[in-house]
Amino acid sequence: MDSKTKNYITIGICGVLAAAVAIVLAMSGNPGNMAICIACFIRDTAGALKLHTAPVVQYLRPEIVGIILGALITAVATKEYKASAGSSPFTRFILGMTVMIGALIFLGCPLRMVLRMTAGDLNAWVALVGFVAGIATGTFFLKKGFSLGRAQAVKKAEGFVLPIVMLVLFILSIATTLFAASTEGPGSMHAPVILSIVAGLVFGAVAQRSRMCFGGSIRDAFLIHDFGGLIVIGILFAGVLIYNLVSGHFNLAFEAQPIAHTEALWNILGMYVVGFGAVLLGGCPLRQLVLVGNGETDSAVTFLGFLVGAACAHNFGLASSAAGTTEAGRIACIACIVILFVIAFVNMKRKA
Amino acid sequence: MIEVDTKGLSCPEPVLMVQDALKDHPKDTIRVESDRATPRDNIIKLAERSGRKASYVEQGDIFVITIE
Repeated sequence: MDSKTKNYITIGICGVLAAAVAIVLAMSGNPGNMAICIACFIRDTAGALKLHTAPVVQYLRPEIVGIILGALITAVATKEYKASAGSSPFTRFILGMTVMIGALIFLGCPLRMVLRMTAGDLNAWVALVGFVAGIATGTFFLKKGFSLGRAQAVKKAEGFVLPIVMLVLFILSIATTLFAASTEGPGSMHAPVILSIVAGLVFGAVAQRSRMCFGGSIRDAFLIHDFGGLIVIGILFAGVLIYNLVSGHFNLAFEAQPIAHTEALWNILGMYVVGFGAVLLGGCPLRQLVLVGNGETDSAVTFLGFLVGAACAHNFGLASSAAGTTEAGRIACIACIVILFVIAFVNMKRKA
Repeated sequence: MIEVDTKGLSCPEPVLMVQDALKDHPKDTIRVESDRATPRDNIIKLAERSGRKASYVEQGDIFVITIE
């Protein structure tokens, strides 16, 4: 078997496993069309840690811990683990914040956007326009020489810090009542802990092996006409779509979609921020978690940006709800777009 | 021999640098240094799609890709 065929088989298996994980989590109690959503689950985790206190979205999601650890274990096993740091970490922190705020204005990361699309949520199809436009904007700046600079190799131990912190938080979450946990709303809806952590581990391993990235796959189609990255996402999309059709969860409409709003402009602009920010970061929120597992501590800083962004989104009323966007959220969304353009402009010169 | 150092750069910068090198030097051997598996694989795929031959060796902590 040549390496190309082997690669396609790996990607095929990863796509099927990713779809299976999403379906199992959807069936086991995670919120509607939110089988696995990186932005929503980091937001819930920020709430559990009391970085915000919105009572309906507080739960330390084992899936997030599992994805980071699953990617780490896979990276170590395949000798792809390499600790690095120093590619504009604070800029990445700000990018993490903006991406999270954009995602919470739309109500989902690119992964949840795809899951919402498979359930017939037309608002997510509208948001896809913004996501692709954001990626196109980021790609334009990449072509002009955008770069956040080089990361350097650092001590191996540095790359293990965030995964270990997450593991400790997870243990505390099941062994103590230290963290907040919603008793109503999306935060109270979750699969059993053991299922969530195993699902997260599998998803992390699969995403690490297949290099799954919702931003990168569309970016590479634009940039180098490489459509390979879209295959694994296509399989995930098809698998969950079939599940939704068979189980009666498919509802082709704008209205009455779970944890979603119908404001087209802000769905587009929210995901525009996510797409643009993801390209500047070099990957979508899911990919950032996997990169943490690969030892890239710049992505660990980005993760902190996600957490703080989620906390701000709820503490200052920026996050949307099923009732729609908020005025503060709309202002923040425009501010995020301005911030992204500023970051893109000032980092245009790629240094040798 | 054209040399391209992509160490420490985020995706897709390594691939873009190699894309430029392939365009500017269609006949020369290109030696690319990379420290990550993802860009390594993407660079090899890009070179092969451009009709070039590419292979890599591991040297300590880095991958050295040769495109001919």
